[in-house]
Amino acid sequence: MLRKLLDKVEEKILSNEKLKRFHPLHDALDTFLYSTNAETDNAPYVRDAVDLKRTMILVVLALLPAFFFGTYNVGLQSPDVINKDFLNCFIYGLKIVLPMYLVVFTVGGLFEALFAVIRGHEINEGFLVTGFLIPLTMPPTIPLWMLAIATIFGVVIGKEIFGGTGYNIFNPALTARAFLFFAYPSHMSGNKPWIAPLDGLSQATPLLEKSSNLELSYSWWDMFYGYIPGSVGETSTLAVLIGAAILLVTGIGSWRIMLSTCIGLLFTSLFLNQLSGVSDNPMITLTAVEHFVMGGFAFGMVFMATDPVSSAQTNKGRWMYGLLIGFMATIIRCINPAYPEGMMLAILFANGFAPLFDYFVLQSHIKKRQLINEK
Amino acid sequence: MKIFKITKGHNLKLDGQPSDEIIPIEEPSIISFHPNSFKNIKTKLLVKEGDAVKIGTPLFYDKKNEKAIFVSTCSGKVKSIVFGDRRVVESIDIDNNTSDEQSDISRKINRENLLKSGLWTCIRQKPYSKIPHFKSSPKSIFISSMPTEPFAINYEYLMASIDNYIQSGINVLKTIFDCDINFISSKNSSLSNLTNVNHFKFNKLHPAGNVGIHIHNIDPIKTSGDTRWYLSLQDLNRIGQFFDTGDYPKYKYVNVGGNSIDKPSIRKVLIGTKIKDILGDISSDVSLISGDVLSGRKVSSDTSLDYHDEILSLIDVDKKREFLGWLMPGFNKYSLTNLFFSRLINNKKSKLSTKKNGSIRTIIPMGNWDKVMPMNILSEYLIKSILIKDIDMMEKLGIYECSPEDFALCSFICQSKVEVSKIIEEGLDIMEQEA
Repeated sequence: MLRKLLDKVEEKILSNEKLKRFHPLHDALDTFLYSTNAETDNAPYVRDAVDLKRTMILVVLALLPAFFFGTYNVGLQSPDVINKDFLNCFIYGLKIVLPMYLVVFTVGGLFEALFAVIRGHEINEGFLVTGFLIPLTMPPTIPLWMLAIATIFGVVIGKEIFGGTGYNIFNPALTARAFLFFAYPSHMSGNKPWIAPLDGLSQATPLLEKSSNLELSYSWWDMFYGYIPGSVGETSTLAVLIGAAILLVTGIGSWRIMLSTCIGLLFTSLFLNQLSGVSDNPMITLTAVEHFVMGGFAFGMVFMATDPVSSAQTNKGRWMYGLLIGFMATIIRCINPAYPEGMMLAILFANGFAPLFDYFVLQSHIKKRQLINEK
Repeated sequence: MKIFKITKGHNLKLDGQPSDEIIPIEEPSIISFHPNSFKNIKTKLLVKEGDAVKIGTPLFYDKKNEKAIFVSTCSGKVKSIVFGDRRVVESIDIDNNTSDEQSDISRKINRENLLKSGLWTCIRQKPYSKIPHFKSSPKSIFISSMPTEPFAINYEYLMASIDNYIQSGINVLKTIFDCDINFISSKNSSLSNLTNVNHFKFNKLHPAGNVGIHIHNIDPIKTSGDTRWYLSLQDLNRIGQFFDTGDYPKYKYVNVGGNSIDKPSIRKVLIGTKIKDILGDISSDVSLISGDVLSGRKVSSDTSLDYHDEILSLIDVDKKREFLGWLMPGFNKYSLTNLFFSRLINNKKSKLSTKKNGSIRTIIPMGNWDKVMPMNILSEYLIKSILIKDIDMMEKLGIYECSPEDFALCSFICQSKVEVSKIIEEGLDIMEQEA
């Protein structure tokens, strides 16, 4: 019955000149509910079952552990929740996180649809992931109107002005976060925004404690499991690693990028550790293992750095890109006094460099081909 | 002898795999030729309706390659010539009187006689996959005895079952062109004792059987004019047969595969036989592909197979739409990616149909193309340079080494449903026009 209804609506839309331009909206709903029956019209006449919808939905699946733990942790960290059992904390967290999702998907979806209608192309599934990522990168206390503006900024400036999914230079979800980070810094960093509700109570994140030369009040395992304040989805390294396993097994996330980011972190922090004798900067004493579980390093590495569009697109380029992220994130954390966290900026920075890495790889490939041809 | 190991690729598992058995098809009363199935051909007809023809009578040629003629494979009368838009010749139908009269062609081994016999047109060249100009000569010739595309003929079986003139065919080519002849076979092939050729071995992982892959590994193409020639093993056998015996080799062995026919196997058919005469009754829920499913061409049953094809594939048409298909575990989805559970059972429960399985999206470099591309080509950059028609970049990235069929698995596996092989073909068209 639903199928018949959809077909009827499609017929109506296509038969009316004015309504025709809204066909992408119908198409998005239609292919969301029912797999497309489009046939191949040129060779190869058979095709793999994989499509972008499936790919994107698996990224969302990989994000679910971080989402569930993050939602629970919002309640766990809040002084409002007295009875700290799982369900209580989770329900409290949902009350904060769900409105965030509602805002992001409504506002972001609206702008996606708007651009699809204007450009006359189908609605791309890319926003499914971007939209799922944005709330997870935000502090739980972020005002919803800010979230709405950030989402619009991420979608429009981060992606659509370049031509939409597949053409963007920077990761749209991080662009959204960076916008708030610079426009409303008091809501995005410092020791206030991490505990819901925002009532003047302050609670520093481990990174902030460390950079302010305070005694760390969390154990390594606390930080690994995620029982710490921070942005919604970033706190639990364990949940992020479960997501990483899904991305690696399915082949969606690049293992080269994840591995090289870790290598970049390892070598940079080892180098900085050597300087601990000559500097009293507390951050440089942090080991790679500590860096890994603090802040958004793991989350950024697994879900942001591996974005296939804004990362490097050649295998050798991916190695360089990952190394740069690991290096820059550590350097910004340790040496820049203004920001205790550096992962977001490191990834955006490397996004900007990715085309350059690819350019080098491309040129060396061409040179090698020429050498073979001259033989 | 050199052995190459190809590690990237995939052998598609299709239902209705043809068995090793030759079934002769009765000579039909009408055979047809379709000049417009050749790309960019400017047909010059040499016969008109009502003309009597014999086996070997020239029927038409391409105005750009006037001595490379196409000949009749039966004796009889030209029944009709069908013209399409702008007077392209769509088909030449010939009434077959089955008297097997053959026109006189000398079998002295030289270029002239190869052209006159119509067997020159069995040869094609890379780049551009077209019939070489009658005046041109190749740098080397490639012959593969191990095609790997879906439903490919098992040449080990075929050549053991029919009269074998391969060595004669090789000698003919060697005498006429005096160039390297590279013979590609698989491990333990019974065809490894041929002489006058350079032997090479490849493992059987598609596209390892494609001539493009052989050329890339053995003698890569450098410029547009740097041509390699190739022909199928049975066409080589036909050339050998003609120059050895003087009998015109009017039959071809066609591997017929697919779910919806009984006894998928090799059919011995008169060249020009219409598909409906090969298959008999067929259900309407299948697509007929002349050639293999990865690189062939969809045809109607009222036409004959494309000139160089030796596979006829039947693929089921499936129009069912699955509710929330993207959410299901997908034990019955055919995929080379790890995104469905079918991968755990090696796609055993999966069936392929003509469904596209998704909508077209922008190129998103997930690295899937790389998994099935065994050549040293940066495919994503090549495709992008073709899309923006950057001729200089296309050359630098090796467009001349590329053929649509070598990129077919990239189109197959692409999650954005980018028509990779079609874009390669467009790129080659651009280069050919420039040259």
